[in-house]
Amino acid sequence: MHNKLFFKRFSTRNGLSAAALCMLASCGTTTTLSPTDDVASDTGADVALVVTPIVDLVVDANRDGVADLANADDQAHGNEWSAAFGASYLVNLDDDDGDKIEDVLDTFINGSDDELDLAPISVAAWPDAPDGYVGVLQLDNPEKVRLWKNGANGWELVAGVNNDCVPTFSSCTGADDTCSDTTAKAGILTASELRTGIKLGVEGRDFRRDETWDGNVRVTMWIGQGADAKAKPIPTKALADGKKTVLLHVAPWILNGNTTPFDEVRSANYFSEFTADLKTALGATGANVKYTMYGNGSSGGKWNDAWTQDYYQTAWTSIPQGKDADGKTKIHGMRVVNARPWGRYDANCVAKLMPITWLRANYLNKDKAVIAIYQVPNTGSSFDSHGNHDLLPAYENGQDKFPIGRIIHGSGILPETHAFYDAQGPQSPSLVVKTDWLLVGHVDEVLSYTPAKTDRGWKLLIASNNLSKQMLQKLADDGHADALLFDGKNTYKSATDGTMVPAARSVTATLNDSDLMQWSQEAQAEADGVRKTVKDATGLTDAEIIEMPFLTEEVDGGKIAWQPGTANMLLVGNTMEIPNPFGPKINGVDVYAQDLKDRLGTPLNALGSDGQGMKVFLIDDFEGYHINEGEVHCGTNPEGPPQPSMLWWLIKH
Amino acid sequence: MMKHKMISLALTMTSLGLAIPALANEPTGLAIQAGLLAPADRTALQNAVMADRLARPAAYDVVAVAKGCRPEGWMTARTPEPNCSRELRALGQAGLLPMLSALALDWAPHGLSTDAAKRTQEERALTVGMLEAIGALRDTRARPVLHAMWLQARGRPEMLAPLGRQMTVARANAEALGRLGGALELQALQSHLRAEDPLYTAAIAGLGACKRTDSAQLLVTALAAAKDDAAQRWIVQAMGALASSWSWNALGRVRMEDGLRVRQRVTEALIPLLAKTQGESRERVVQSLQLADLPDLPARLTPLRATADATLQHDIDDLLGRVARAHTAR
Repeated sequence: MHNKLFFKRFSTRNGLSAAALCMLASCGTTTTLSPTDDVASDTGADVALVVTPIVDLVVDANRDGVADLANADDQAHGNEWSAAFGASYLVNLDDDDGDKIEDVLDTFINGSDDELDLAPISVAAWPDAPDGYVGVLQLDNPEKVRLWKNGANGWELVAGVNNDCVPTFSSCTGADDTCSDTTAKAGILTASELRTGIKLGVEGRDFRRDETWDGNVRVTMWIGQGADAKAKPIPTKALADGKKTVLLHVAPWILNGNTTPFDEVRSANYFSEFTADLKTALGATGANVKYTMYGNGSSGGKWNDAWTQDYYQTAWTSIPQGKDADGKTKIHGMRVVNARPWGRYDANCVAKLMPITWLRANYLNKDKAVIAIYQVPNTGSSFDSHGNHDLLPAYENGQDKFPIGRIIHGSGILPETHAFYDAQGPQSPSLVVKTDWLLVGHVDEVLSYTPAKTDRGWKLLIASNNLSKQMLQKLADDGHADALLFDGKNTYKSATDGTMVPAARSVTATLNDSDLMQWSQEAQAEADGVRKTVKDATGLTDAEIIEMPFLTEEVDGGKIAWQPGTANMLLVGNTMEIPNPFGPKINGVDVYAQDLKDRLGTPLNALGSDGQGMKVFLIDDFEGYHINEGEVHCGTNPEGPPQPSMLWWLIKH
Repeated sequence: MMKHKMISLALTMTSLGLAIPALANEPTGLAIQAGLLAPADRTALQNAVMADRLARPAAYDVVAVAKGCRPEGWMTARTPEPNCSRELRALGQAGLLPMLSALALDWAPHGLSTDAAKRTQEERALTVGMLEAIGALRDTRARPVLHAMWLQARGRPEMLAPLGRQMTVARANAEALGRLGGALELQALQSHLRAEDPLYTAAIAGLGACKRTDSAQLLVTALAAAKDDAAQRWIVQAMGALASSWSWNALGRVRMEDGLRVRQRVTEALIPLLAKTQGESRERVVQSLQLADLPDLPARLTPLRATADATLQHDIDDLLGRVARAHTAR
């Protein structure tokens, strides 16, 4: 009661000197201020203090999911970032309230799901905080995060970007946010909030884009007399300058790879043979994998792009949330898909329909986020389709350690995309392989990765014209020169009667085609260059590389699979969804299909998590995708949730 | 047979620069005016086309076939740029006269984009597609049109404009000439091997497609005269294409000796380059040696490997591994 009265008088009698008030209140220590703060403007001569504030805030430095003021590690390591300690925060790009606006772009916290996306900070109570004093919270990078407080009025923005501007997204250009938001570098806690202590939440606005920012955000707190963030810090016994700073590191964007556990596969439904085969295969994964299809169009969930792999990249982000009853680390996070920088023409659109527009309308959801890495809509090229961006599974090679994989991409991607990948950390620096010799130019035309029961845990699958030529030559040598490739399949429309032209071609006609042979040998040489790059980086041995047979042709100076490109497959768990090669049949058996089943689907190469071989499914993509420049991988896109086994914060990067 | 002789005779005039100037009312194809063909060539082609067209008029709607060059085709393909070589190649021999007609006699862009910039791209891609398909046929009836195009390519910027990453109409033209593979074609390509010639890179590519022993010598000479790394890589790539052992094997026993000579000449010229190049340039040399795949390549590399630094040793070992895999049955 005594104190309440005192504080009341203090707050209403401005004419009293600080020293006199101190005497009345029997305060403890007296310290002095130094005018160092860049927000406080009252930086005159030293001032004697009459109060001793409690300035204490902590983050979840020990990664147990709680910012615990009583925890020694949270206290001791709150201003550091290392593999051992340090708090992290999520970029809150999902849409927990389903209003089709990213949560970080609105002006409120969208309920308990959204609260989970905030990184916690706890501010200690100063029960004796007098009226007329405020806690100041200052961000060193206010454009990177928003800082919220959970007080009597619920969640309120303290500092960071205030989304005054409601973004508009053009369906054609994908342009966003053309107006300006205001940004506050600092905000305040009221005296009453200081008295009770308060929970803060840090909401990330963006991932690391490049090397110009280290990914760290610092929150500095002090207490001062006044009503706004200009209040001058009051030194305390523990804090000579009256300030305490905590640090949080932005959680990176983690790319999915073939060995990531997936729970959903998406594709267009344009081609019935393709979707029927895929449905059968995914049903046999043994996991609960959802198969989502969309129709051809530009509204109502439809989309005018059958190349599902290409127009977005699936990934996720996460932060630690303590441990479960079994002692396993729990995480919280969200899926974050990355939209391709360019879209396809639509008859009703002056420009192109941007993938991000479709993704915002059809993908954005609770724990499902969308991001654009590109700087200018409709820039880039085929190289920026995400079939050209992939992930090498985990490996170590000498000093190089990539425990949750390493981003690999082909030639020519936009510089901002490469910079973004390399800024993420745990899966970078990305490995670049040459793909500009391909017509389409994607790394997934040449490489894939399969789980294996080996020390490394995976093997590389690589395009092999060598193997295909050898297989055809053996058929010819064994008296099967007239056997037909692609029997029963069609290529293009006839010029004379409009019907489809049969694709069938004999073994001998294939081997005697000097152009096709030249192109295939050239493609082999280029693929061997890619193989060398990957071997040199990873330390893979030849025994860890499995050749996928198909010949290659040339169009406009670029190479493209002539036979179905069997390296371009989907992998889900222990299943492989491989383009049906439609090879020559001998005694009713497709020798190419049998070869794939023998080498991939048996214990021969120790593939699969148990080493007993993968379940091999052949997908008919011939007339839907193959003759239009792609295969199964191009037409599908798998995704999965944030992975509890991939604790990125433990990786030194 | 008579028709072919007439074409060849007229071609001689054309290749000597005696082509008749274009006339105002001459039929016009996508690539050239018919008036640029020698009269006998033009007449022979027109007659052949007329007869064929009567028999199968629908075949002359080349655009209808070329799905990948029509907007609804390329806009939905994986790489959204027009290209239609594959469907035009699939026409086989039946496509020759309709494509020659479209290039030189009769062209109407129905079915292509109405937007001028897009239509220009589509027409350029269609031209390249037809040239690639015609080249694959190696039919001498294409000779007058290919030579007439080549003769005027230097003065036509649209033939030198890039299509996709590395193709031009001029390059497709040169490669189609190279595939015909006669002395006239060699002469036509050889006349553009000076670095400052706008058709220089196209001519190099054309020689890479020209399966002759004298092509190899021309490329070796061009390699020695290359002005920069980019030109050197381009020539080395053409040498690899020319020396492709798989391609020579496909041509059969009758060409085996020629093939061996070309592969030897290319290998001899490229091995010394291994030690003089690094990075991307060395990888290009490695690939072309791999393509030549001379049986005694390992022995030929032994002396170089003995004195090579660690990086070059690694690259040589990698090359030998590539060659070994090509010959190892799995």
